[in-house]
Amino acid sequence: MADPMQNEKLKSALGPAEGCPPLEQLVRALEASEGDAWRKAAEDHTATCSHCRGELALMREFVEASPRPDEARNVNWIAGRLAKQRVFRPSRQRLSFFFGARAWAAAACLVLVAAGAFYLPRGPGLPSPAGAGEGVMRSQALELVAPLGDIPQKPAEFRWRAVPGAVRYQVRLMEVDRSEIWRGEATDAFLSIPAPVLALMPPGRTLLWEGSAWDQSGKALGTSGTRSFRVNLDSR
Amino acid sequence: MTTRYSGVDAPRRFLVAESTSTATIETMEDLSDEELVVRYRQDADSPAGERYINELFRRYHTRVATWCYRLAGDRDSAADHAQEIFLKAYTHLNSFRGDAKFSTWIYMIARNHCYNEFRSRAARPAHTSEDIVLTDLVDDRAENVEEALARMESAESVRALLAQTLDDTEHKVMTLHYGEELTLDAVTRMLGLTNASGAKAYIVSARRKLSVALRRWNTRQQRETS
Repeated sequence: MADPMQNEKLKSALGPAEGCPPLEQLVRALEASEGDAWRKAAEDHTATCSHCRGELALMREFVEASPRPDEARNVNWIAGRLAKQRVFRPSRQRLSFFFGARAWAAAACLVLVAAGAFYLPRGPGLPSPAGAGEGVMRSQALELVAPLGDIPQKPAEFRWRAVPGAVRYQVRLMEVDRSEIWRGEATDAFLSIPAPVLALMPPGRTLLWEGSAWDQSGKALGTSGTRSFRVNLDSR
Repeated sequence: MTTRYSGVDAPRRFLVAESTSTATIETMEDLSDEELVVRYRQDADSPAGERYINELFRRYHTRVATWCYRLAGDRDSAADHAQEIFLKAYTHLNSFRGDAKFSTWIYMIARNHCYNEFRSRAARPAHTSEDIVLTDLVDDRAENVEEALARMESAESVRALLAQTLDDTEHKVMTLHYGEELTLDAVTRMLGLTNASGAKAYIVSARRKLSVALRRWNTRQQRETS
């Protein structure tokens, strides 16, 4: 077998050199007007750099190429499947992909305990909203701070109380039927909400969210209950 | 692994704007990719915004599907990866500043996603049997190519030797296989190599050339030291 140290040298030699610009920058430079000094420098670099020539060729292949005859049937099938799909909503199954079975088993146990303690006695229905800023503390639970209940405008971020020992937090945003529409991760006790996700929070639409805290070893330290919030209809 | 999506279909020639005074009608097809991003950001909260993003992504369905199919080699896995690429593009659309073309931006997402995914797969033991390590290609007359490369002073010397010795296709094959750790089958599909043994033949050819070049390099080195 090859010595990994030797492979590293070869790998490094096949990668970008110190003087290689990022691909996006190289492409922009090559698209600059004729005679532009930036373009000239990019052309000179590309002429002598096999790595960048290869990267550019692959990118052009991506941008310009159509499927080859032997690929057409399968590519068309994939493109057809993509065409049927619109707004992007990761499924719950994806979560196990991101966090691993063991962590999710631990999280599932905590959720079951929390559900047994809080939801079953209260019967079915939506998790109850709390007033803005009113957190609900639970034993070994993550305390969600905002957004909660009816809120005057779209939230800029999700906030919760920090959990001692936690190095990572995970937030799930869900429809009222608990189908996940977005998830994010943070290392602090807040998570900014990206614009595409804000677009999923029109006034009057009730959404659910929940959080979980994880330690360095990937062990779940605690989870929140599921809480709801809604942007007021008059916030338009 | 599946992903659920919902929403409305975007007709290809959806009416974007109409000026009655000039009687001009602007359709989705008239808008560049970058203009679609701008319109989407302006109308992100409305159904129109959804149509802009759907039209933008529709333009890349075939390209992303082709890229993923070449790397994955099977359509189900490729479809899952294509979905993940569009999900990443959607989630990170805010990071698109318009400095580069949208096509370059989404290519980088597709490239990084697939290299990361398929690199880890290639690294698993089950996939290494089809891979070639340079030590397996020892020329009887010469020393091990990889050991000789390792003796060179720096990665820069190796880079120079590779550049001088290999043609562009051999270099691309070496980069994708040894640099990005993609399987030979994936490299063959990506580069559309139609020869009988695909990327493997280019690795063998590259190794022969490198073996000769290294012998010359060794001779030069010995001459310089004596």
